[in-house]
Amino acid sequence: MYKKLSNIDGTENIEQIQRIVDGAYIPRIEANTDYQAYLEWLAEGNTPEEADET
Amino acid sequence: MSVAINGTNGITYNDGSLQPSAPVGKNLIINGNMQIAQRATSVTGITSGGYYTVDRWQQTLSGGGTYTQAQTALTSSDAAFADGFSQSVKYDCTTAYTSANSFSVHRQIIEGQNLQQLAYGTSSAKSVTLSFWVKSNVTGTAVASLYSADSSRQISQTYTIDATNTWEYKTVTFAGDTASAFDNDNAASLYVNLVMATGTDYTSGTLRSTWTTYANADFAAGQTIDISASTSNDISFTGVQLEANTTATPFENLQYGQQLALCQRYLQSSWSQGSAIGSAVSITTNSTQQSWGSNNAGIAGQAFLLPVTMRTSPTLVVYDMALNVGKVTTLGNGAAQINNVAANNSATTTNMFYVRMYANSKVGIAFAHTLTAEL
Repeated sequence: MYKKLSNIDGTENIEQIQRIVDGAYIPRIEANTDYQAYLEWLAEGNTPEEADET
Repeated sequence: MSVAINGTNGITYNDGSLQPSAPVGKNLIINGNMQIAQRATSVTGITSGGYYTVDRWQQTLSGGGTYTQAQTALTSSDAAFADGFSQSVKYDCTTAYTSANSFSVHRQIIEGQNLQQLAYGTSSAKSVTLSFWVKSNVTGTAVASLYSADSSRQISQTYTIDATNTWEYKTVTFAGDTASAFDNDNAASLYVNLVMATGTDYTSGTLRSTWTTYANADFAAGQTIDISASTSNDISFTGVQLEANTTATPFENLQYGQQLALCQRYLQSSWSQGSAIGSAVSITTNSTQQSWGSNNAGIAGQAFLLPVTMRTSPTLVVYDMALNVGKVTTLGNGAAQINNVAANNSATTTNMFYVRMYANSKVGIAFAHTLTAEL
């Protein structure tokens, strides 16, 4: 399970995604294997939770 | 001064000292002597694949079985100790499991940009030799193999464990792949596999002694050893070296700091060397602290430069002083601490990271952290 993150102005943080189980901040960089796992999770039809309000 | 030059052993001087024949940096394996264990020195109850103890070494585990994995010290009674190794990694089966589709492998994955000197994909592709020490209570045949993630090709060799509970030195040589190159980048290219356990789905084919397209049935063909078959079973490794050569040469020993820096390209943490990740933290031990001395609202944060540039932008996990993951501890006047507070923002690059708080009325935050950029 993953969650989107937001910037201070409330816009979506498009540089990272958060893994809920450990709160990990995962950079949206293709070479990062945790991001690769997120992309596989998305490809299975899953959807990340919306970001908390700042 | 007289010297003796030997193609395998290198140059032996008249005082008996040895200058290995291959250049510095010959070992393509990182932490082959199992010296660095940033995560932990012992992990029990392992039921899935991952990185657990010694750095850079991944245990794959699929289908079933439970393991304890530990960095284990060698003593003067161990043959590998006499060869200069003080640490090993031990895999101990604690719940047995056998099925056709199960397997477990002691594996290291290497970046393609660190393999370009092998000239794969050309007529000059170099042979590589894998050497290592192994000890197990189980005797028989095991498989060592290479797999290219860039070409989905593999090559395998077998070796035998001849005596129970005895350190044995093994070498296997693999021909170079003239047909397929490694990508020149920071992604996973070469999987170095020492198979520990496997079901028949992976042994029913033919041993691949030349580079050919991967097939499950051939992955561990020839393997008879199955560490997962009994809770009496264990296997240990150390002194793993992969070098561009047709014979094995003496292990390339690095200073501790050099080895640690190579490992930190893939994993860094705030925990001190010798303290397992997830062990106790405080604002003065195993943690990072940011203090900005203001009670006013706003944005506060601090960027930390990393001691070693990482392979790619790493995944950041933060822990508060009560070890709640994904949370930080805020520090108030008089160092009052509040745990379980969500940080508002963070970022990582290959050489820095930061954690921010928005509209915060405290005077600082403290957190422990890990940065992971494994393959």
